[in-house]
Amino acid sequence: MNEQQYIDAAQAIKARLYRTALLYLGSGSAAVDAVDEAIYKGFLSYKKLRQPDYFSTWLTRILINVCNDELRRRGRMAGLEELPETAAEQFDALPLREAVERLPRQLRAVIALRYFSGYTLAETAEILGLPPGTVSTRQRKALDLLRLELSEEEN
Amino acid sequence: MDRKEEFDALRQELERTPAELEHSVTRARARAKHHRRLRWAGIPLAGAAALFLAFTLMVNVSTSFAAAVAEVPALGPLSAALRWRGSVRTAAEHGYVQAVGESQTVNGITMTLDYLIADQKKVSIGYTASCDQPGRTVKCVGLGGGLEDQSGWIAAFDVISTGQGQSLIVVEFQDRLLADLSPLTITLAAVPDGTSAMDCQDRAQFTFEVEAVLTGPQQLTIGQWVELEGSRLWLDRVDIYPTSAQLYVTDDEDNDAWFNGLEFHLEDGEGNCYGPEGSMLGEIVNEGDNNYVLWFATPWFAPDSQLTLHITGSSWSAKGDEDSNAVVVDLVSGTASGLPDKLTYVGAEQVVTGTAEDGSDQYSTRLTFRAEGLPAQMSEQSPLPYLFQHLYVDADGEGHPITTMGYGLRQSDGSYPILVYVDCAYKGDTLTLYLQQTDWNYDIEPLVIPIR
Repeated sequence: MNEQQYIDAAQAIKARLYRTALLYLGSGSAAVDAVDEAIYKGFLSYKKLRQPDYFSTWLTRILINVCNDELRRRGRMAGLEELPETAAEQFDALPLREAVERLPRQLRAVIALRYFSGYTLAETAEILGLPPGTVSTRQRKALDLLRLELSEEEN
Repeated sequence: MDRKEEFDALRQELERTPAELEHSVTRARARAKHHRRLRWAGIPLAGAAALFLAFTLMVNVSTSFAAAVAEVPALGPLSAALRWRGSVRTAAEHGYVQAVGESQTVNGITMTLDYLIADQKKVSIGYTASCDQPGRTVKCVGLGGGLEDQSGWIAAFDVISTGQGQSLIVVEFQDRLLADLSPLTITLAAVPDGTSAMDCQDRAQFTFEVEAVLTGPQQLTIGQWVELEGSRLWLDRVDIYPTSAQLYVTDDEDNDAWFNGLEFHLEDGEGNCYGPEGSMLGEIVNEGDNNYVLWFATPWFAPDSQLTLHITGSSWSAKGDEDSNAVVVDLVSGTASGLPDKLTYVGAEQVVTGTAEDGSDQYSTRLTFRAEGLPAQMSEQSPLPYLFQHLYVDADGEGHPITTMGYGLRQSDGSYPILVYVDCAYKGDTLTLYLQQTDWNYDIEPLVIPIR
């Protein structure tokens, strides 16, 4: 992959990256920063991407790492706290967006990637470095908590 | 609204992306290029101090600059920013400034477009802005109008704020020349202190109809091959604008190595030198198809019509797969493999590079190499420290950015220590670096080529 190909490919998926980061981090400005950081990190290493077919999952994986770093950095800073998987009633009472943003991180990532960024189950598994079965389980759990019934077509 | 309707509405809401996202790739690209400029900790401070001194002297003694300030008063406070923009400053010194002085107030924000320093390749826009709400700072959050190309794309840009409401927007055009600046559209936001400009919705869009004089280039054809380190380089032409200048070169596709850098300057008949002056996208812009553009300080205002190109060195990167440029450092045995002849590995050590939140020391692993064949004088524009790409691969095959790269003081044998810092968490036995340059020579008999 050369620089122009990288630029074109990054341009093509930056909106998708933004949606993922927005739901993951819960802030528009933090999401733009995360996308900037991910594309920047991609710039430093795109030449090592041996299989350009995996570009979008590769860059999204970088983005998820950036988001995780950001969440770790925030640490105890004030913000929306995650609710435990047992808090089904609290999830039910929240508007959907807030409910998604308060999902436990590992469930939130699956929902953001599958239903708001349009990745397949296999791609989501690749991005998160998980077996597809685990992604499927987390997806089902997250949808249950959100009281959402979505078909594959709504991916 | 049930959950499904909420879901559909949320998906629709997320389809809208903020304007700031538009330039994510440009910002990242510029940052990646500028990453190459990282210097060893002590160097930039010294350099900054020297530049500041030079600027202070220039303001004090330069009548042409004083005249420009008198004509466009806003240049005064903005001169602090201009000192970082060599050719723009030169243009301002020579009175190449178009005063505007038009004010508009929109949504409680007042903006005065003070002046333009513009040509077809680069535009600098000086403005002053204020708002009627205390505790807020006015910031630029968008550009448009004549600066956009047909696809709505704006070339690399930067906004320098000098405090007290004055700012300078600098836009560079890489793939096209600016035909018409008007209408010039600038979006400002009155940002509450301590918050992000991107989240601020208190915005105002200003549109100015400006009759900017956009000077085109003086094109000087060179049209000849030179041979450097066994590789051929086609010197195509030089473009000179009032606020920037570019040297266009092409490397021969039959070369065994990729072109990586050129040590050069132009000289006029009075001995004034015009050296490299990086664009926002870096010292060298790769245009593809073996074509490269090297930006340098403009000789537009040269007092003498004669110009010669002086080439004093070059660097190259061997063709082949990435592994051919790999340097594997064994931290246990203290050895490194894959080094070119002019580079030797000295060793690694843990050094304190900061303080953690809990007050404890933060460490980095510093690798030291020794490089020969580099020029005697280092400068801000020298490509010397960038012998390695800014990435290392750990023992598990994972890539990580290199924190800092730089160089130490020149040794008595003429070599330079090259310092590479990797993150404090690194615990592996080996790591792999990738050479940016595999062959270089900055100690050649200068090639002097008359171009005007």
